[in-house]
Amino acid sequence: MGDDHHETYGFKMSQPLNIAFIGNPNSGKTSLFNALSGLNQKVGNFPGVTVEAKIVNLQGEFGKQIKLIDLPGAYSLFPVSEDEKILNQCLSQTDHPYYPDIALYVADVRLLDKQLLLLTQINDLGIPMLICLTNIDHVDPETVGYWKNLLAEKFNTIVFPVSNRTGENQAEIKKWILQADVLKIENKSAALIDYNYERLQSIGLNSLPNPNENARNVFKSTQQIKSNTAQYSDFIRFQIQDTMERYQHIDGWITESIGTNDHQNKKYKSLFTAKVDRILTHPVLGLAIFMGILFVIFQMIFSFAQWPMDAIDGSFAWMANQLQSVLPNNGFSSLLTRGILPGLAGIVVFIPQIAILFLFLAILEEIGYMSRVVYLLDHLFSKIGLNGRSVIGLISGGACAIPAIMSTRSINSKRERLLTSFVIPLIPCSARLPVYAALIGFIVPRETVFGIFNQQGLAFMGLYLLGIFLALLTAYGLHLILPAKENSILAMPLPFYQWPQWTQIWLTIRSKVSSFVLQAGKIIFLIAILLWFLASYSFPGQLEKAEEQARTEALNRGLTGETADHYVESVILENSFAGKIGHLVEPLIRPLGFDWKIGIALITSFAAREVFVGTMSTIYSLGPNNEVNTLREKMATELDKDGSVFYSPRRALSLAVFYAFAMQCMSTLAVMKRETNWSWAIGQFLYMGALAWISSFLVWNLF
Amino acid sequence: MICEFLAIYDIYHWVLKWAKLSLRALLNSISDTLEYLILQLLDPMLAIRLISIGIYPGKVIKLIRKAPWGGCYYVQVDQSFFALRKNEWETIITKPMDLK
Repeated sequence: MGDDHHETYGFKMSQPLNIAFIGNPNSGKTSLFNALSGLNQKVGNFPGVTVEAKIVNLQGEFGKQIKLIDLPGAYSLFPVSEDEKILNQCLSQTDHPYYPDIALYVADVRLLDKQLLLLTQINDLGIPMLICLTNIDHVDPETVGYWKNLLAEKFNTIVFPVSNRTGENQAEIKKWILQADVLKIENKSAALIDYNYERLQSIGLNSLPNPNENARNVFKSTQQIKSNTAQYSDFIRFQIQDTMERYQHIDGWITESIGTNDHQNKKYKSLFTAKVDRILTHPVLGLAIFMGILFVIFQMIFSFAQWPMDAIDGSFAWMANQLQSVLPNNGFSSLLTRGILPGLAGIVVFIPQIAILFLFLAILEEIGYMSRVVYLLDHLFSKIGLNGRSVIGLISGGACAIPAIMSTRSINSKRERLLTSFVIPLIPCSARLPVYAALIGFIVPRETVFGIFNQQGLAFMGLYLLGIFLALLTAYGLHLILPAKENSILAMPLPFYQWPQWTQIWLTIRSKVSSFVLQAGKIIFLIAILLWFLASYSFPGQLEKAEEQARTEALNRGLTGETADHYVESVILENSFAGKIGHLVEPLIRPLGFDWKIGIALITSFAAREVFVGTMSTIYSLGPNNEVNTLREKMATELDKDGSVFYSPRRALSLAVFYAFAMQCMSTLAVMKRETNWSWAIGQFLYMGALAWISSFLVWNLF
Repeated sequence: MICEFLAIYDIYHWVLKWAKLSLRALLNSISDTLEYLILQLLDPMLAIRLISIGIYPGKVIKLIRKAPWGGCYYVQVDQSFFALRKNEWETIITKPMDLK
């Protein structure tokens, strides 16, 4: 016993000591991890998958590097969910980078009848372990004492009763962790299940002398086994029998515990949760309350976040203005004021929305409400291949796709998560508003129908509903096309309600914001610089020539001061790379009714949809900082070649529809890449582009 | 005039009474908890998940309520609560417990 592990110790002498936190979802594992690790967490990824691994590097008291790892929550090492597969891989391969030298098993003391299963499996793997019993403040000390002694005896190890709320005993664990390399805990407990020759033969495994290795092979074999093979049903039967046998042991310990007050305590806690759930999961009331919560969240990210966002926009614009007046007018100051600063602003401006959305989501998750949302809505959304949790992403996508896509991380099924984040950018976000506002007047007159409905309001709503409808339709289409690799299984415990822990919520917000700024931010920044380059450079000599000509032209026309500057700016933009590309793509967008001017706006507003207004203003020599209304007046005077009004209802609608569907947002692309990979991000970009082109084509040619 | 006033007053009371009754009915519509003894789990793949979260033959399962539109089942086993999909509930073969 443990021989194998001594080798691992020796082999890893120069490497850090891995201490992994393992436990069921809702065991209090992550809370304990956060409490012990403080604010120095790093977020890494498990090899090959996008599941996050939270890691903290500590310096042990005796000089050894210690690495704390928060492994994904799981119910069993016979994996069903994606998270369980990752845990299985991590624990059954000794060469895995996160293979623990010591397992810190976390279990909720109120739910030990369910949460000891995984513990027995880890014990059989021979991994040295410590046991932490959480939520001890909810049960009486007698029960805690009973379980502490029992588990310590059965598994021959140290048991820490802890409370994440009062912080009881956390310091002791921390102290123990820092001395872990010297204390050198070993797994001295015998394997619970005897993997003898016949049992292993039944699933085609060889019997080895070391029982831990046999257990490892059993769990490892779940990774290779394919369904539809002859072995498969044998293997499933093996897993069921194996698990039931473990429960027999656990049930024995539970029966011994009946003498304590344990039973009464649990009853009390579940009574409270049952009462609250009578309202919150009620078919009518529950849904109404959830709608109310969504409404509040939406209001907060839609209107409340507007203040800090305006402040950020304003201060960056002020900084750019100040710098512009101080610095000489050259390439560097242009890069700084038109490339770097707007690029940074484009990252920072999303922080309020992300922070506010995740403040709410973290609270709802912490108190245990999110799983009730899944309970209420799962059926509705599973029909189109989504998950009950998708509704949060879809609704908050109505404010901004960036935090919405980030929120899909809480969806456990990979397929449902991909589908949700794929369709979120189709939901009309707040950045489409300025574009619609500029165009809507050209589409429908400002009149009322049936005496009460404002036509423009109806057109607005139509564009919104169009986006929502296409999002759901796309999800359904993908659901039919994409093969379902994993079995879609819901069956999940609904945790007891509890008070939120504020440090936990703060950590969630912090990690979401920092992962956005550091990872998606890089891409946003690079694209912003590229767009700046395209809009302010051209082939050598051409811009200077164009500017000179424009100045003379302005003088001839009698333009002075700002008006002249605006005119020159519009000429420079037209002659820049962006302008050239605008001309270049004209044949591609002419079938949609667009000209090269709109082409330029399409390119620059890839930074963000609302940039459309600024670019159009520049093109029409209004200067970049104009109001939508001025732009609208200017656009109304624009004439087509045959003398008719250029922005006819048909053309304006075609353009509005294009903006409804096209992924005119570099930040969405960046965040999608961050949450999935390049192929999904680019696939989404192309799909939305094609959708936009086809719809605009239909509008332009059919109306 | 007085008659009209009385009629409105009547309607007002009738609506109030109706609202109270229906709210009470809503809240009580879920109080009939049914208890079953789990005999067997049919689908092996679902069984693995059900067993690993603590739903297995020999346990008593209580059906507490259902989500609207043929949605999830809210059940209780021992002192824990679970959400199950319809197919997951149907894979559990049970027999009703004798109440008394």
